[in-house]
Amino acid sequence: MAGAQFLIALLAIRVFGQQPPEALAEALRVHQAGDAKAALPLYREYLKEHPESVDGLVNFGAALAHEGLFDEAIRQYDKALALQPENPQVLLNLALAHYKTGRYADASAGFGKVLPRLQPFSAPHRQISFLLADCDIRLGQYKPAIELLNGYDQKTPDDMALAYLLGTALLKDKQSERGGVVIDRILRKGESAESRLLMGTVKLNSLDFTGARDELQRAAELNPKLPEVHGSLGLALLGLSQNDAATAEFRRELEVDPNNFAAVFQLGILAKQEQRYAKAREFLARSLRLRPGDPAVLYQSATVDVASGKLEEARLELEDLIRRSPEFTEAHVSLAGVYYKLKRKEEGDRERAIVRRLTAEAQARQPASR
Amino acid sequence: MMLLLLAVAVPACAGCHPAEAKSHASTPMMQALMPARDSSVLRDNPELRTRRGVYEWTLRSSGGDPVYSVSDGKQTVTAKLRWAFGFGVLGQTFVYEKDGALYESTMSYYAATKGLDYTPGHVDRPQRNIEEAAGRLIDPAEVRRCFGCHSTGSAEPVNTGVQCSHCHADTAQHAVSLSKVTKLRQSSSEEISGLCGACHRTWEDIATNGPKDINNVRFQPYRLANSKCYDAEDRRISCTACHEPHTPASHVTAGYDAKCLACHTQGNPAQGNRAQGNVCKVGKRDCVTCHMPKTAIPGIHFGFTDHWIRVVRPGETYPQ
Repeated sequence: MAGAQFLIALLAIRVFGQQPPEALAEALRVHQAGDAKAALPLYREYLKEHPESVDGLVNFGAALAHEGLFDEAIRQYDKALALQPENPQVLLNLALAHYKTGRYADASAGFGKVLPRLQPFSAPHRQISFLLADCDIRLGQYKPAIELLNGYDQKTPDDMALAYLLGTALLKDKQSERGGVVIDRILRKGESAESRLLMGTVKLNSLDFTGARDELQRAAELNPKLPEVHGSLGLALLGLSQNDAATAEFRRELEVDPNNFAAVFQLGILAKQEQRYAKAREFLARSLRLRPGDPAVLYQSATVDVASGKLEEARLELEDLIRRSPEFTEAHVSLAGVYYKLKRKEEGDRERAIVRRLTAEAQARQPASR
Repeated sequence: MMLLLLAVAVPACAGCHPAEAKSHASTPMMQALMPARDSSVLRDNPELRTRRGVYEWTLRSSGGDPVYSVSDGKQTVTAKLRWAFGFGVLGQTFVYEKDGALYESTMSYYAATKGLDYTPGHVDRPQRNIEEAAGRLIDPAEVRRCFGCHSTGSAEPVNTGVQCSHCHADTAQHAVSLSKVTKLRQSSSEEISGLCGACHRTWEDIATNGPKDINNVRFQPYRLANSKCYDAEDRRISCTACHEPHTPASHVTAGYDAKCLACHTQGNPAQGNRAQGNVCKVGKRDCVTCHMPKTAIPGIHFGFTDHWIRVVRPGETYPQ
């Protein structure tokens, strides 16, 4: 997702208002000199003596994050946050670490706490707004992202990064008309991978898979490293029933962005179709981490259990899903099948009746049926 | 590869089950797939030709592999046909190979018109060049699905048609040691629907993925399960209650009356009639002609029997 491109090194070393203790000062000196790896044992040593030093924990976390040890960094930030729950530096660093590790729900919550503390339309406010919007888009929550970006759209309409992010949110929210206006703005700047990607998204939305494939292949030629391009191309190829080619594109997407939800999720579904259930479960668990509680992922996980004969597990998962999403037709369909396999005919019949009612209601809502 | 090892071909079974093997050989299921050069449709129609817009499609067979070609008047694409899908009662769709990949021909043969017309799903497919006009690339996963239903075992060499082990699990072991095989006649209607629906599409398949329109009339297990009289446990309403899979489906409508009347009659529960259906006030013959109307899908040139058994009201919209 484009937001990742806007991420700058906000994992800054905390600046002290007063002189830090000597042992910590030494760790900071090494860290500030650019050798985060060498600073790690110094921070560890200091924290042995001062386990409740928020400054020590935050800077140790920053050094760990610098070295790519995000899970360990998150543990340090969590400890710091327990000591100072409102500390903005800790909140920000923790949110960034969550973002980098694909925990977008946690990142979104963290950025949401930090944002009101920043001066509106300042550079940090813009960056955090974009990151927050990116989290929301990744979580499939397009409307809050659009609302957040609208303010910037009025203020800086020529900002192409903004236009790209807003255009993505609008198109994914199926707001084609306004999305088209934003795309026009990008297209006026000439052909780019971003503009082709957005055009491909428009065509995907209208189920023009051939057109989408062509746009997205061009986007991939222009910038193969642009997040979302290969994932969207994979979706277009799936629409054209070219599953193997789609699988290759989803894998390419994960090389660019290991946390691309669509790619991870679709690879899970494809693995299920190929009866590689262990792999399917692995991808679906990853999907669920990217979008906690996502009904579509929960549904696919349950169908993996159905396909692999774990009927009781599937029944419990589907019953739970239906309690939370009673209008989820496909879940009722699968649950009916599970009940029949478990020889619970009355419950199977009941679920099929629900499916027929939901289907009839959905068809009545379609304009052509009126 | 595993599927291939599990596949047991008809000859291995025929020694002990000659009657089933003999009658099954004449079924459309057994002939659901054949090398194109063995297609009687193509043999009987040595040249088939049709034109749509700028493109003209031609199928020629004069011994050996039939040749499929498309021309726009300036250039021509030709390919040898490898496979013919379908027995020919409805029609046949052809598959050709190019650069190691399989393609579905844009045009299929239809028995009703004795000529070529668009293969289902192709009429709206873009034809921006002559390659696209010729056919549609079939993804390897889809190839596996196609051959998975039209043959037995999905790997090469292909055991064409729906052979014994396609439906009878455990036959590989049974052929070696005469171990017990699953008795399908003891299965519930839902289990039979699941078995047949693996190819003919189950209620779950269509309810989840569609189509939710007249095109689903082809998918009998889905339609049947929507019938008011369908009972997931009652074998009297299963696929095999009416269709003996080892013989071609009968087209004598009166032949099915006894199946309907097994329930829809003033029977005696003490004699084994567990559930009594309503008794028809109109007639007691040719039930299916009214209650399972023939339904044509645009472009497919065939009247499918709608297995959604119901009282059809005049002017009703197609129940999806």
